[in-house]
Formats: sequence, structure tokens, C-alpha cells
Amino acid sequence: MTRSLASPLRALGSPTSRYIARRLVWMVFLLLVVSLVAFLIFYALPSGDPAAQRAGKGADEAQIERVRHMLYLDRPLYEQYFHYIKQVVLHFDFGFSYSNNADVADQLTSRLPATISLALGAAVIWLVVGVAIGILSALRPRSLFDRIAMGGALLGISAPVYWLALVVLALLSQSYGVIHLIPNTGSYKPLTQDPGAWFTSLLVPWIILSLSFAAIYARLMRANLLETLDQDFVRTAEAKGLSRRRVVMRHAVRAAITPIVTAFGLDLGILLGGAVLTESVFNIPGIGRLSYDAIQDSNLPVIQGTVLFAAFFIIIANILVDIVYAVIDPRVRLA
Amino acid sequence: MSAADEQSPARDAILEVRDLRKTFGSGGGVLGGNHEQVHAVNGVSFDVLRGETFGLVGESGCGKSTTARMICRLEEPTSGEIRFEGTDVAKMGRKQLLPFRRDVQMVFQDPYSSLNPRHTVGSIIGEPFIVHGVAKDAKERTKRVQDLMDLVGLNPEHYNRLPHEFSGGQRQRIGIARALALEPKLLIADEPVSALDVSIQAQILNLLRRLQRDLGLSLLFIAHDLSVVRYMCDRIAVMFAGEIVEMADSAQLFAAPQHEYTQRLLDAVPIPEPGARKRQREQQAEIDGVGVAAAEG
Repeated sequence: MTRSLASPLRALGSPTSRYIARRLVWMVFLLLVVSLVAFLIFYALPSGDPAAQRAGKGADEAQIERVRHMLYLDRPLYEQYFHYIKQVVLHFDFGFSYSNNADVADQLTSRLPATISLALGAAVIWLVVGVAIGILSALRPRSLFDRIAMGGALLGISAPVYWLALVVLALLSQSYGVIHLIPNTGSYKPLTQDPGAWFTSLLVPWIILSLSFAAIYARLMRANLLETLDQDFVRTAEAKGLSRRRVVMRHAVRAAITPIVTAFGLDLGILLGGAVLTESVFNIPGIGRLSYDAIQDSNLPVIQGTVLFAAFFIIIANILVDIVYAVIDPRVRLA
Repeated sequence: MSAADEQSPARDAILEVRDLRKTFGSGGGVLGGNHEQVHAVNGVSFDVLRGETFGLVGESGCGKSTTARMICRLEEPTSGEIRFEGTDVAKMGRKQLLPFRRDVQMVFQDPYSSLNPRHTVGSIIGEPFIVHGVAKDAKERTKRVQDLMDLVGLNPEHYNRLPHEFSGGQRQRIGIARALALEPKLLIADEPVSALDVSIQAQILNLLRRLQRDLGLSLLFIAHDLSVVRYMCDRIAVMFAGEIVEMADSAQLFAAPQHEYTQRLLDAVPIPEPGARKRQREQQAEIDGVGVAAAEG
């Protein structure tokens, strides 16, 4: 596969663009594999008869058979799969939702902005907070700040999102909280419609979603930086007479931050595929909420669509991570 | 033993170390009990004279490197005094520390881990220029970096390469060029060749010797290998378990080692001459007949 691809790719110019092109080809291949696995899990394994579900309650045998024929469910599996892929690739058609007959592709794209808003906002918070706390803790290990920060991080990791979210809502929500401070669930408005409401409705979900990530990142950053600070080249930098700030930022942090980049790419990719728990608790109409509802109703085309979307984001995030890697670590060559 | 008393005051010391101590505490267990303390350096005193090569020798773990780091102020002494050109190093504030960093430079043991793998050779050698405000424009910096690379026998064309593209010996040359960038008065070489192949060691040692002579450096040379120290040094101090057990001129130390530990160290040096080992043992036995028997018994 690589060999046959190599020659047309060479025409693309710089090694970096060739690299990206090759990774994109791989992405297509991976998405095919993911779609096949998802397809097999949902259609080939006994999970209830899709045709009966689609036909609805009280449908008679003949109706179900008609639906079965309409949905290609009476064909062999490979033909069903081929049909599904053909529709996706040629027409960006993911089929129709079993529950409300809506176009799955439309549903996915219309719910994407909410998920992106939630994921990116939370990502900014946890990256800034987590990395900053990690650096400060590593610079003064065993100090009071470090102990409080790492204790807090342990709490942050241990508290599940849904529990924390429900507690916060019970205490602070506008209509049924102890103090009426934050908007109710389901108050999400798109950024383009009402930026103010968009921000206030997402603020608490951002903070709660970012908390456990910030805690993990702080611990990761602290551990890595402590290890790096003890390395010879940091001592070399210090012996050069560099300021503490320059030693830490230019030499130590730059080396210690690579695992953070890896984790960040993957975490963000996963969240873009839908922050299921946060979206469900706060009733944010994103991909996560969509997939949660779809799983509840065994809504197979929607589940398929969300799985493919999630896989797409994770793979893209991985490619981006590799490119960022090459930027922060010049030893890495993209080729 | 007091090293200071042996120095004649007429000789000009660039570095004076007096009763230097470093204690590492284990910090105790979870409940704070069981404090075990390690005396890594336990009352070390010596002088390094201007223009000489002073050797500090001893087995690994005897406190040599900790001593070196304390002299560079990369580590804080528990007690004792370090004077560089008459000024107490421990009492230097930020203002004095910067010129001190220029004057005292260190070549580290491991040429692999002591160079930042993400920086090009040019920036590794040239970074001190930026910090110390020497050679402010980039062009002049490149020129000086290339001169330094030439000085230590590296191809100046390679200043844009990363450390992993060089061999161990070349990396140590980078480390030396880096240390020399600010024209230091005192160079501390902490086991500069122990991580290198034997075939490369001699090249680096010769380079250091040449530079020391040509640039008029004072060199504090730290090693565990006696033959290396003998080749390099004018005077030698032997360290054992955090203390200096013997200090003498190089020739004198090798001709007539006084301390039992020095004798054992010398004994351990292989001699590349058939029969020499045996002759040496016989001589040794003659010199301190009873002592050896006691040590073995």
C-alpha cells in the first residue's frame, strides 16, 4: 500500500505535506475499518430487529417486511455495508434516524457547534490551569502550594463529572438551587444567535468538564517537569548564567510538555466526538447528547453516524499532535 | 588534614575552598521519623592556583561531583566557604552571580544528557552570548560560535545541527566549546571523558590540555581514573568518602603515595607493561611491609 502511494505523493512537494497527505490516506482507511466494526456490532450481532424498530409499535408482519426491504435489511450483510458506505462517501448520506426520520447527516452537523463550543472552551481552561499549576508545583515541590494543588488534583480526578455537575446544579441552579446563580439546564443558545447566553450557559459546563482534565494535566506536568529539572542539560543551562525563568521556560518546560501535547490532542479529539456525560447532564444539544439518546433508542443509523464522527475527530487530532510534535521537538522529522 | 596550611601564601589562588560540607537528608519517612543523613562532602579544603590544573580524584560516590557543583553554585553547601578571586561565592547576590557564571564554567560528565536535545549546537554554544550581553547581533554570534567550534575541532559548518547528530566525542567538544564561550578564568571539568570510548578519551584530554595552555585557564579536573589525572594535572587531591585524604604534586603523589587509600587506588591502575605489575607489588611490599599485611588481614 505504501509503495503504490509513494510515487503520486512525491509530486506533492515538501516532506511535511507528503507526510500529511499520507496520514490523510491512512485516515480514510481507518475510518473504513471503524465503520465496518461499528456496522458489524450493530447489525450482525443480535440487538433487536432494526426493521421492527423502524416500523414502530403495532406494525404488522407485512409492514415490517416492507421496511426491511426498503432499508436493504433483507440483503446479505456485505451488500448492506457496501450500500451504507457508498451513500456516506458519495452523498454524505448517513441514512435516516429510526426515531424521527430526520436526516442523520443534518442532525450531526447541526449539533456540532454545541459540542465544539463545549470542548474547546473546556480545553482552554484545563490547559491553562493544569499546565500553570503543574509548573508552579514542580518549581516548589513539597511546598504548601504544591500540597494544596496536588490534594485538589486528587479530588478533581476522583469526582465524576455527572456527580459534580448534579451537585453544582442542585446548589446553584436558577430555578431549583439553594442560591439562584447559574442558568438551568437546557439553556444553551448558539453563539451566532446570542453570544451572551451562549457564554453564561456554557460557563459552568466548561468548568466542570475541565476540572478532572486540569487535575490530570497538572499532575502530568508536575511529574514531567520535576524529572526534566533534574536533568543535566538543565544544569548546563543554569551554569551558563541564564535567568531562572529562561532555564525553566526555554529549556525545562519545552522538554517536559511533550506528553501534555499527546494527551491534549487525544482528549480534545475524544471530546469533539461528543462529551456524553456533560452534554447529557446539562442538556446541551451536542453530538454527545445525540449519541446518548440514540443508544437509548437503539437508533442504529444515528449511533453509526456519531461513531464515525468521533473516530474522524480522534484521527485528525492525532495527526495534529504529530505535526505539533515536530514543531516543539526538532529531532522529530515528519517523513 | 588542613590543606590551607600547605599552601605558601605567595602563590596566587583563584579558588579557595575551606571546610566545605554537604549533607543530604533523607527527609524521613511518612511520619517524619527516621532521619538518615548522608555526608556527601565532609569538610573539604583545597586551593586551585591561577593557571594550574588541579586534579580531584576518587571513586564514584565519594563527593567529587557534589563538590564541583557547589563550586559552580549549582548546589548550596551545608556549610563551609568557597572563595573565587577572594569573593565568597555563597554570598553573591544576583548582580555578582552573573559575572561569576562567566568566569567559572563547567564541562559535564555526560555529553549525551548535558546538551539540550531540542536546541541546535549554535544555540547551545551561543546562548550565553545573549544572556551575558556579548555579541548582540545574530551575525556576530554565529561568527563567534563558529570560531569556538573551530577552536575545539568541530566543523563550523555544523552549527545548525542538533546534538543527536554528533558522536560522543564530538558532543563533549560541543560541551567544551560551550563552556569556553564566555572566556572563563576557571574551568571545572567533571569527569569529562569517563562517558567516552577510550580511543576518544585521549583526543578530548589533549584538547583540554591544549586549551588550558593556550588560553591560560585554571582547570579543576575531576576524575576517577588515576592515569587520566596523572596525565592532566599539576597537583592532585585524593578524595575518599567525602574527605580529602591526600594532596600532593602529581609526580610526588605517584612516586610516594602516603595514604593507604591512595596506594590502593594506584594499585588498581593497570600497567601496560608485562612484569611491571609484579615489580610494583614487590616494591610496595618493601615500602610498607607491615601495612599491607595488616590491610589484608
